Amino acid sequence: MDADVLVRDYLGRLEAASWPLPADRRRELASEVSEHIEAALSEAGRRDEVTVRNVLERLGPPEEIVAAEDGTTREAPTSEAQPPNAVQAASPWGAIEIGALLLLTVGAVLLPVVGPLIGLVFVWISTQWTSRQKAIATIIVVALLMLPVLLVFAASAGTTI
Amino acid sequence: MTAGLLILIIPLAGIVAAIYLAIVLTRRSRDRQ
Repeated sequence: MDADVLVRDYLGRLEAASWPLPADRRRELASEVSEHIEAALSEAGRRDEVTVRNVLERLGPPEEIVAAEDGTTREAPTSEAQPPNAVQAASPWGAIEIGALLLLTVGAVLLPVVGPLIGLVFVWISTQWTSRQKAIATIIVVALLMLPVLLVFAASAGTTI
Repeated sequence: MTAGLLILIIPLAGIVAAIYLAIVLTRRSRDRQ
């Protein structure tokens, strides 16, 4: 995917997520985040897809930036706007994320196959992982779950010959 | 033998994915500090 498309997509998500903020603060936030991305990219000296993804990943999900911004706006409406890199986002470990990891690990032992699948649903609900990371986790689970099926097929084919 | 492998591999699928996702979140929270 083109690097500029990734940035545009990220800023679009930020705009969509920032609807609870006042209009002028929304524009300010979009401009600050955009400037921050440009600064990080020129500092990196590259604009390839991996670099852009890394920069966006470091920024965190747009929803989280808006949530942190919304909190600071409510707590201190007269305070100066914070640059995006100064936004102190909450810990990425929420109930959904912990639940997802427990279902993938303990759930896999207590509820084989079903546990990890419910865990994957939690992973996809969470906003803390990017779509790419969610897809990688899904591929890992599906690929490793398919392995025993292939083994059983191989074993049954071996006995019937 | 096959049953033993199944018992090992089925939980392994979730555990490997969970380790990957935990590393992602840990790295992100460390980057923000």
